[in-house]
Amino acid sequence: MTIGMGTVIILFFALMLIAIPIGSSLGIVSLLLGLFDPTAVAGGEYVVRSMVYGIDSFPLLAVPMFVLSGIIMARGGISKRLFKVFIYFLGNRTAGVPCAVVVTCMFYGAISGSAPATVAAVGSMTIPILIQMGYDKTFSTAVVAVAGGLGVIIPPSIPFILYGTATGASVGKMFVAGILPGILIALILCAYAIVYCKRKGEDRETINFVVDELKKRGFLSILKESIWALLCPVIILGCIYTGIASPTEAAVISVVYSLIVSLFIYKSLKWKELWSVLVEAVRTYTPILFILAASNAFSRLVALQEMPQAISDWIFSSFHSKIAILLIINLLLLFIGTIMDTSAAILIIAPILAPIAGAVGVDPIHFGIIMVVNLAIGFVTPPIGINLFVASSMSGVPMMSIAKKAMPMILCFLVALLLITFIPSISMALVG
Amino acid sequence: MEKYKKLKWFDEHFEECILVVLLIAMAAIMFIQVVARYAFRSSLTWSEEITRYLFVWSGFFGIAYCIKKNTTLRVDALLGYLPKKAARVLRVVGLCIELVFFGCVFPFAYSLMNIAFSTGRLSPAAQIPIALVQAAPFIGFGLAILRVVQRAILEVFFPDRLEPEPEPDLGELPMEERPEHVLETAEKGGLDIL
Repeated sequence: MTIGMGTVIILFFALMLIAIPIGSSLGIVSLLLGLFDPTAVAGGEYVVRSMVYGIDSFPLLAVPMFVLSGIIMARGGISKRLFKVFIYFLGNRTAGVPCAVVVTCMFYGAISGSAPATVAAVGSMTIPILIQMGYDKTFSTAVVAVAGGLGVIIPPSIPFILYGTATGASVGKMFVAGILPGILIALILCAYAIVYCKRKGEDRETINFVVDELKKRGFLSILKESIWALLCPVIILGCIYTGIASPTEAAVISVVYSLIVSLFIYKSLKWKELWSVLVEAVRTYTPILFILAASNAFSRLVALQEMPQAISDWIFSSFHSKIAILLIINLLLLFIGTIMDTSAAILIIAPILAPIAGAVGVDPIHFGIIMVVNLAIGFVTPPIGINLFVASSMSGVPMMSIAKKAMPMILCFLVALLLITFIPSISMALVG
Repeated sequence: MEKYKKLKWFDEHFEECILVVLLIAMAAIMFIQVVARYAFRSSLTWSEEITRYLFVWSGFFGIAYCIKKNTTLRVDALLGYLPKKAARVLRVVGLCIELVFFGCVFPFAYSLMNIAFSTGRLSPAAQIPIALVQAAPFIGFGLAILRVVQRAILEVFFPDRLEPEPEPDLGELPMEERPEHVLETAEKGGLDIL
């Protein structure tokens, strides 16, 4: 007896719709595929063994380590220190303050690998400051919610690690490839902020006062406060790019570095708080682990049945040009990003879509960037935009009002997505 | 009463403690490896394998932990639109489906572990029995079954004792509206940024 592809897909969506956990839904479908496998290669033990193999991977160990170092750093009030540096440089220009928020998100993204964590850390510090400096509350919240998406595009990034695991692409190369697209998105968001501030005007009097005050203190005093925070991404990325350390080892180095900085230099973390930091890290990364396990079983069994082949045959018979295929894939990913967690989406879909993209001549690294940018947009689109949710519970502005204010910025993000999709060199220039 | 308290602590923190210890062990072993390689120029052969196996164990312990703490990832768009009672029924149905699933994979995990024990195969680098890794799904699914049953019982009979939905850590709340006379406050040094 065999189970048809249609049945499996329908069953999978039905399980997800009634809110069965994603991991268990994948497990149920894999178990059925395994037990009724026509080639008799698989079986119940095969499914369980593939689950073990799904987690048994060294590159994946970077995930818990980056989560841990991100949480340690967040306790050190790093986002505020970074923000001061960027206000010092940008504050005097039109929209300098919202631009500083975007750049802070970008830098913070280079420390943390997660978008909602970036929104929470940067938002809780900067939104009150933006409001005090006279910006509209909803606009301030929306800027942080959208720019928080940079957290997963600027390396290190947990989705990049997961994409590398799911498709076999090099995580180190993914990290290099993410830099320019991240900067591009940041620039486009800044451009929008300038247009917005030109139209609505700013409270220059207060802003200038603040900037002058910071300038009076001198750059050195600000640098002294923030140097350890600024160095963190330099160390992490430096280790990876110079080949001194693999991404996983760099992640461990960043854990130790952030521990030293927050325990001994900033003294923002006390020894007795360490246990709660560890618990928070465990709480943050455990939900992905069973999905990792089950999605590995799922993608192996689906491959045994030659399903990816069937899907790509269908796509190639329906669409003929590369542009059409890429656009369709983008639409599909945007849709998935609005309803599903990014990590889960990557683990389930990347093994199926990456070969299709490969067949139309898109490099797997480039495709990884496209995928993550798409899903990052999903963070800020209702109904399930996690960034919107975090930003809204933080500032008290209702989700839909943030989404409305964020709309033009989401459009900017989409423009960046199109550029990144159709100009491969934005992603590949640094990879070499 | 004292005994009951201990039991409650155990119920709340059992998986958590194991997971934290595993996390500390993984970070420590990998850091030792990095130091060994760069400071003493000698690579450890066993470290990578051991950390991977510890990670496998945290993965399978994590299943029960997420069920207990209600952090399991799911698509709950539909659940949000349903009336309270219907959502509760659906959650119980979901738990029953999960119970059947874990009940089905449990015997397979057992036989996988048994095969590994009877062949006595050793891991390539660290030379520890593979069975020690293959036991992770067996224990993990077993704990998951217990936690699903626990959750289902709570959901049906004591819904008020359930762990609430997790909320992200949001720093200091709530955010205030813009105060009047900002510039004067600023001149007195009362702005957050300064």
